[in-house]
Parts: sequence; C-alpha cells; structure tokens
Amino acid sequence: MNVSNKYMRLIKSLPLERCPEGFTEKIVQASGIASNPGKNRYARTASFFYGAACIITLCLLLAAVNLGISNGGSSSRDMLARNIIIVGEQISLGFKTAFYM
Amino acid sequence: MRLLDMSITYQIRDGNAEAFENLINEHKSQVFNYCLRMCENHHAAEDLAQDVFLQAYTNINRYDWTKSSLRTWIFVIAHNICLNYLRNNKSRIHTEIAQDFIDERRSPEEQYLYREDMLRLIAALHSLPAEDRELVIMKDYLGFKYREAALVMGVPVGTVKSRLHGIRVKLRRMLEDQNERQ
Repeated sequence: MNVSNKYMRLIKSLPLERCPEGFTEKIVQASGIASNPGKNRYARTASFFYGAACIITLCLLLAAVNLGISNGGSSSRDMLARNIIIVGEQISLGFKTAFYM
Repeated sequence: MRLLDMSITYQIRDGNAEAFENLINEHKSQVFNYCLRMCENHHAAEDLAQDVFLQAYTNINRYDWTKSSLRTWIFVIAHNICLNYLRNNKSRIHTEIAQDFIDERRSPEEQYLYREDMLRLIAALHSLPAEDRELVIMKDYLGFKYREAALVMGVPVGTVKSRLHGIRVKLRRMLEDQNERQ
C-alpha cells in the first residue's frame, strides 16, 4: 500500500478513547457551580418582578382608558388618566432597568 | 452556532449547572482525546482535561463569542495547559500505550496487524515536537478546520497549512522507514 495513503488511513482509524466514568460529575462538583446558584435565582426573581411590572402597567393603562382620555382635555379626570399612565411607564421603566443591570 | 455558544456562556455565568454539564458532555470526548494523544498517559490526560474545563468555567467571562466558537476557545485553554504540562514535566513524563486497540470485527491476524500499525503510528507521533504533534492531532485526528487550528495555536492559517504539509511528509517517511525495517 502507498505509504502516504497509509498514514491517512492509520490516523483516521485511530479510535477515540472513551472518557473515564464520572468525568463530568467530578468537574461539576469541583467547580462548585451547583452550590452557587445565586445569580440564577436573581435572574429568575428579576424576570418575575419584570412580569409583575408589565401586568401592573397594563392594569393602569386599562384604568386610564376606562377613565377616558380626551385630547388636550384639562378636566380632573383627564389629568388623573395622564398621571396614571406616567406612573405606569415609570414603574415599567424602573423594573426594566433593574432587569438589564 | 455562535449565538448558541453565547447563550450557553450566559447561562453558565448565571450559575446554571445543567448548562455547564451540557458543555462538558459536548466537548469532553475531543478534549480528553486531545490531552491523551498529547501526553499518551491516561491519568495525566484525565487530570489535564478536568483542568481545561475548570479553567473554562473560571474564565467564562473572558470568552468573546465574536472572536471564536466555544470549542475553539476551550481548545485554546487545552493547548496552553497541555504545552505547559509537557514543558514542566519533560523528564518525568511516563508515556504508556493508553489503549488496547481491540476491534472485535477483525480476525486475530488482522487484529494483530492493526495493533502493530497503531503502535507504530503512536510511536511516530511521539517522536514529533509537541507543537507538531498537536497540529496533527487537531487536523488529522480530531478533524479541525485549518482556521480553527490556526486560532488555537495562535498562528496564521498559511503557517498551519505549510507546517502540516511538512509534518505529514515527515510522518510518511517515518512510517516508510518502519515498513522497510520489517
């Protein structure tokens, strides 16, 4: 057989050895990742509050729509509706910022 | 693929043990075999491969998904760890043939010839300098692309191609010499 072909044939037929038993578990344990899920818990909490903030904002918007917003109106109802929207937006923005920090 | 790598690293940064476990499971075979072929010692290869993943975990913040794939980045770590190990333990390294090369599909005679061939190949690989051996392991054994091998070794792609050509010629000659001696 041609030696140059033989080299390629040999290297391609060199088998991959199996990893020792418990290889992954040892590393995961040594890294301590399993006992330090703090950041993960934070991410979950943040997304929970972000979701809650979205629902509150939606409720406030519905309340504002219910009160009825008239363009350029200056009655106390219009002012209240606008203030509700502003408060809702601020809450949403605050949680959004906290979530991405 | 890179976006997937980025997502995995963010999950690991957030302390997701399952994501880290998946990362190890995906790359452990290649990393372990790379270490094994570099030092041809089973115990040392296991320790080195574990070190690779632990360092990857510790330095996960340094991974830049815009520059390389996660696999390439892991192999950069493996490259540094293995070469350091070989440099520091030059006189103490005890190489052993880590595999039995048993293939039950072959007849006893074929089995014998196959084992002889494999031992000859490993002996030829181990007569090469560590950097050359590494290149052959990555490109011809583990099937890396030229670009990946170049990134791991920190050299231009052209250098990898020309060096690999030279190494292959050298290996072919070695195997030819061994054939003639028999």
